Amino acid sequence: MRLGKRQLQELLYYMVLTRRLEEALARLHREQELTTPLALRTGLEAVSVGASFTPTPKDAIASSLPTVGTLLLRGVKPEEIVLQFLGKGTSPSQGRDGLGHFGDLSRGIVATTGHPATHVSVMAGMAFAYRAQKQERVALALIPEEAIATGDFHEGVNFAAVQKLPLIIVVVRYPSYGASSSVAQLYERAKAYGVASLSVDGSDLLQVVQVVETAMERARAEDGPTLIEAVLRSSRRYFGNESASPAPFSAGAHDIEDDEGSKDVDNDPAWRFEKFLLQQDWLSEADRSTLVARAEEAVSDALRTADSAPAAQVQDSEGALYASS
Amino acid sequence: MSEITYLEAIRQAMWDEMERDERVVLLGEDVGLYGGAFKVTAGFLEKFGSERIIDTPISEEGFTGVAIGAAFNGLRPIVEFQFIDFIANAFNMVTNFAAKSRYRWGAGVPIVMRGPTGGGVRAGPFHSQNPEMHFVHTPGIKVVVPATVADAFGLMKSAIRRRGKHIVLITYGAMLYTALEAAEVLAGESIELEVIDLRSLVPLDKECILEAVGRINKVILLHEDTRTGGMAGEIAAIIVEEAFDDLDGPIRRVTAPDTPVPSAASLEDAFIPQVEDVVSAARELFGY
Repeated sequence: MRLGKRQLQELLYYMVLTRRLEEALARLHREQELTTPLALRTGLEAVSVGASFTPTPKDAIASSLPTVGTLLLRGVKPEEIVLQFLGKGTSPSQGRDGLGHFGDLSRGIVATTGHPATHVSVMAGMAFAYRAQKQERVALALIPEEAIATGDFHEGVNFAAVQKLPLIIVVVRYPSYGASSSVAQLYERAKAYGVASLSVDGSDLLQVVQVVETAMERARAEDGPTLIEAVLRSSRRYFGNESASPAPFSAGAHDIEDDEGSKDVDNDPAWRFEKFLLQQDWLSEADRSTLVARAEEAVSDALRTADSAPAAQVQDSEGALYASS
Repeated sequence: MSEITYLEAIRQAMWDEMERDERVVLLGEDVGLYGGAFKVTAGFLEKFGSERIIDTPISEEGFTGVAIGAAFNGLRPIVEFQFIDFIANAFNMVTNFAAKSRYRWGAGVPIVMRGPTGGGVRAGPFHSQNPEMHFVHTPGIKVVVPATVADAFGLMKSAIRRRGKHIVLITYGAMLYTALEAAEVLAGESIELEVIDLRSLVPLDKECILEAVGRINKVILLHEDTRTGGMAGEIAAIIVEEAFDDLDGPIRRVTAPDTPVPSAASLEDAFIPQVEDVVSAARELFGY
């Protein structure tokens, strides 16, 4: 797919918005407004935004990457995300679940659980239903590297392979983070499942977009599942994996402008993409300021709405458990 | 209608549903080519095709997940566990994904998970367990235990299987037959046992239980499941909380002991509650 200037700028907007929103959530957590443990993987915008760009809302996505990029691309409003993390009464789950555990089938989003790969087989099931119902749709599961060590990952990938299902699994890997597999490259494991695999620079948005497009084509041609390995250039953890991890939130928000020119520019997906667009003249300084201002406004609007939203109310929660029959 | 077996009733119910509703699909180990571990699905593959009858890899967690996803997209999967013991391998998917989904984000999970439960087949600690309380204790899952052929076909409310006036015995599943046999023995001693078959554990038909306790005042709770944390404890608590004044004696539990199900015939018979166990509990309670 050839992307026009407007689309490229829109992609950058979503990366910036994701980053700003996650910074805001980290801030709320520091200020103890947000009281649940906070899992964020800021720095994965190329994957969360890139992998969610080509699929349409009829291609369901589930992501355990803890990043809000995928939700934003699916049309979830920033305020819905903040409300969800804060567990407010007007949040999508009315306070019953927090974090990024957000699901809405009408927008093609399947909520994941606290386990990083349970959704792999669930998305295989979605893909199975697509095929059974003769729908030309593709299911996507985004997972972090540690998910590949679980039985859930194995059983889901294996089922999809045996059934040749239209499923795409994107695995984010850190360059130096080797606790999960003795195999350096994931394609070796993919080979063992009989699944096609593609490796991609997980810090390069356009590469991710392109590789997901290829996998979508394979899926639509009934060539079966594809395992995409998105290797990040940097192991830098912006806010830590979750709030209790050693990389503290107090490291502060990494502002996209303030850090411009630091040695990490080429490894940070958002800065790198922005630099690329500026170099190619697909983005002017003026465009950039407008875009950042737009993202900042969206975030402050969301925070304002969330701030005045009512706390979750105790209600008949058993009614939420079962459909009335 | 000609007489059919319990297995045939399950088979017929699934067959009818698959004929009636093309959204119903069946997944599990050997449900297709082999026709199911107990031949419950023999002939299904030929009739409904491999799109709807899916032989899965041995991977309970995985194919339960597949059923959940398929249900999200409009199918109505039936998941077969060859023995219900194997649901342990899918525990995370059942309790964390399926059970919580509607509560967390409004997406119901209309799937049926089905499997044979309990001992009596000398199959030992991995093919004879009664794991229902794991799921009774997990909000978001309905648990039914059909005891009769008719109930295996379609379940409704609790059923009073036998009327009596001295002691009410409350049970479910295959223990129903132990209870009915014990009731026959006791009738010879002029002890009249009323037998209630719960059929469904979640939801639980409390009214039926409390109504019977109000009439009869002495209670035996019987199940094949192990004792501690079993359904009997829960029902006893409900009775004590809501019908304390109706009781004319201690509530008696007749259950398996707190061990896995053993293999050897002599050990398994000692494990599973027997007619004599019920009879002696009833005699004691009758004389209280």
